[in-house]
Amino acid sequence: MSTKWNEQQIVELLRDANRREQAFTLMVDHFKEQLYWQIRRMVLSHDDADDILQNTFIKAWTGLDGFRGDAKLSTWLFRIANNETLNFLERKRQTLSIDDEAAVGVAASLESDPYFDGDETARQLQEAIAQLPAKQRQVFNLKYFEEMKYEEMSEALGTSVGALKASYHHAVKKISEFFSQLD
Amino acid sequence: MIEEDLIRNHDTGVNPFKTPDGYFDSFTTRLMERMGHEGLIEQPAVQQKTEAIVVKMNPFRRAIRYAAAAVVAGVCIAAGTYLYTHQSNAEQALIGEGFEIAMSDEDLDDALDYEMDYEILNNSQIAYYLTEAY
Repeated sequence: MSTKWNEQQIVELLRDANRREQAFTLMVDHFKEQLYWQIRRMVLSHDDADDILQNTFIKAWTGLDGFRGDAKLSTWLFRIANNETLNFLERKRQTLSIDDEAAVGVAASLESDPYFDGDETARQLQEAIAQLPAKQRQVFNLKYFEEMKYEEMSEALGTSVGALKASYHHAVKKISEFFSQLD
Repeated sequence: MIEEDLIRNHDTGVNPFKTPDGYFDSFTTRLMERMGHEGLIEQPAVQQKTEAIVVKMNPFRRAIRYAAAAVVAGVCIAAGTYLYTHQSNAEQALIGEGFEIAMSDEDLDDALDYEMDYEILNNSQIAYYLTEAY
């Protein structure tokens, strides 16, 4: 029977140099799904999300000595995942020309994605979200899909609650305008 | 928020993103193996699964192999049958001469002793037994 470890227990184990690797695998098991879905909603592609998730944990492993424990382990990991995701999107944006971005279309690429099971409505929603700037998209995803509280988001993203509320408000307005034009 | 309601009208509420079968189950193992290959950790003590290499046999070769197996099986059966019947005949022959094949050695000694006790000896035989160290 497997034992369920909580975050605090994993942190304690991470502090023990002799058991660090064991603690790391527990940490991966504990957080992999949560982080995966946060990344996936941003990058859309499963393969990209898988790469970023692996890189996130590798960064976490190499940076374990820098984890002081003053922030929650989940918050620390989320920040690493967030940075990896934004860096990935920035690199991708720079390699694509503006024309390419307009031509490909998120909805069209999702239609041919074997790991996207949504209908036309779901594709349109993703297309609407994809038009948002990366950080605004992230705030929208965390608030709308993950139902994360602004205070928790503020700690995770290092942004004030006020700025996050404003960002979410703008995101919602843009997406609703997108659907207004469709309808 | 009215705009949020508009969004929810276009949201099925079901997560449309899928993952490959077993993705999460195997993720940690794959990650640790990658970290081992990259020298970030000691190679995990995972027994390398060496899959048996399956070589498709030529149909002709397969037929030859089956035939050979059948011949060996036939030889074994024939040898076994011969030995069984040969032994039975030998037993029958011995039984015909009055020998009790089924007797144990102990019983056989007793029977011989009994025979010896009741054997009618002539004078020269008696003399022999009395003088020889028996």
